[in-house]
Amino acid sequence: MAGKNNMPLLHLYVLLGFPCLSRFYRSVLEGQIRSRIIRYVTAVFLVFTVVNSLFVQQIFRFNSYALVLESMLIILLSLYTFAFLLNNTASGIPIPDKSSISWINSGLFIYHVSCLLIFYFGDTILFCFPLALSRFTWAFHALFSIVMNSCFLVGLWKRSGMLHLSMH
Amino acid sequence: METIRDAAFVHALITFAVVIFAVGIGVLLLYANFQKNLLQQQLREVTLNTVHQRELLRGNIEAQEEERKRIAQDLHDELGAVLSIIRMNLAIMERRVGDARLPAVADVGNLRHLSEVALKNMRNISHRLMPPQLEAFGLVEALRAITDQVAITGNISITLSGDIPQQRIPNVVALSVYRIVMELINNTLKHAGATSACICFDLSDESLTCRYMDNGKGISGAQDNHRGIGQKSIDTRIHALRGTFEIDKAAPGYDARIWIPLAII
Repeated sequence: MAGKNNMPLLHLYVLLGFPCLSRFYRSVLEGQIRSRIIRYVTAVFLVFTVVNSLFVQQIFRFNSYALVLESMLIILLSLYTFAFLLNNTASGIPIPDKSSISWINSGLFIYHVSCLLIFYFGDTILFCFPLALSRFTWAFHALFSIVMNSCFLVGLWKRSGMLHLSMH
Repeated sequence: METIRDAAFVHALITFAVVIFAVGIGVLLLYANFQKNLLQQQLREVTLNTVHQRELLRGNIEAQEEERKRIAQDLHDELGAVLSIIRMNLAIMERRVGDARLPAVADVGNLRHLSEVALKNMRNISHRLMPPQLEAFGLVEALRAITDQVAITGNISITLSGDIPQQRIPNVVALSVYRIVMELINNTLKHAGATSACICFDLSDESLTCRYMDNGKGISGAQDNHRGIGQKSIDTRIHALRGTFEIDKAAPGYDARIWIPLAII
């Protein structure tokens, strides 16, 4: 793979990743936000990212627009989830599950907040800046990614075993 | 020159990203703190609620026992006195008429017999409502009176061991343990088919422990799931006293352990 442009994988990752995350939030925020709204937002995002990948930032370029939009949506959803978890209506959720959701949500929040600027300038950094500077920037991205995945690990570790994502 | 500008840009970008990361971490810490406070508040509310419910339950049980005591006393003192007078008058009437062959005398005799039965039943009900031995001689003696009565039937022998000085445990505990043990004896007699049972008391400064065992059928899984009124009454009393009630399912027969703390009563 050395020397080859693997940007198409990132386009595919964004296309498949966001529906998974939106499903996670749909099941966490069930009863708080109409699931229809999250579905519509997901559909609009998918159309946007497909159009972006086909016509605007094509598959061999960095899809910064789609990533920025994804990050903004995830930040909004994660803030809403924090508010929901602090609300009394979340008192029915068992404490281990609440903790697990908090960790996963925190990981997503911290990663997307920190990487928003990197994503916004990602295309320029990758293709216009010297390789060393680009690598330096993406090293920070990797660091934020490690933080997010560590939060996921703790979240999955803490779950009660009863936590499940609803299929509807 | 361009590379320096690029480097400065990347430096600024990374600095900004790191600052945002730090702010994000701050937000998360703030959130964790809020959540911790919320959880503590909820725990406090739940604890207060539980304490309040327990107090209500105890008040309820105490009021119930007071009412039982009053009814038992009224039965014994008022109805008992009236029935005794009726019985005495009937006996006098029977003696005055003298001739046992007269139908009226036989009827009076029947009435006297019925009044004696009523008096006996009334006394039994009164004693069941509030055992006089419990207040006079304490928990162990009150239970001994029951086990002695059961022993007369010859079907089962109940051993009672342990000594509880009357002043050492509060009335509410003595009465609750008495009712619980009575319920267990009742269960043994009705359902267990046991030939012997044992009630052991162990009193310390902090708690009263009572172990109740019989050599009967024990408790099956289905019975365990189906909790009858008796078991619910036991649970309620135990909960009100902050005690525990455990059944050793592995033991042959029935083996229950009641533990009541005395410090908080």
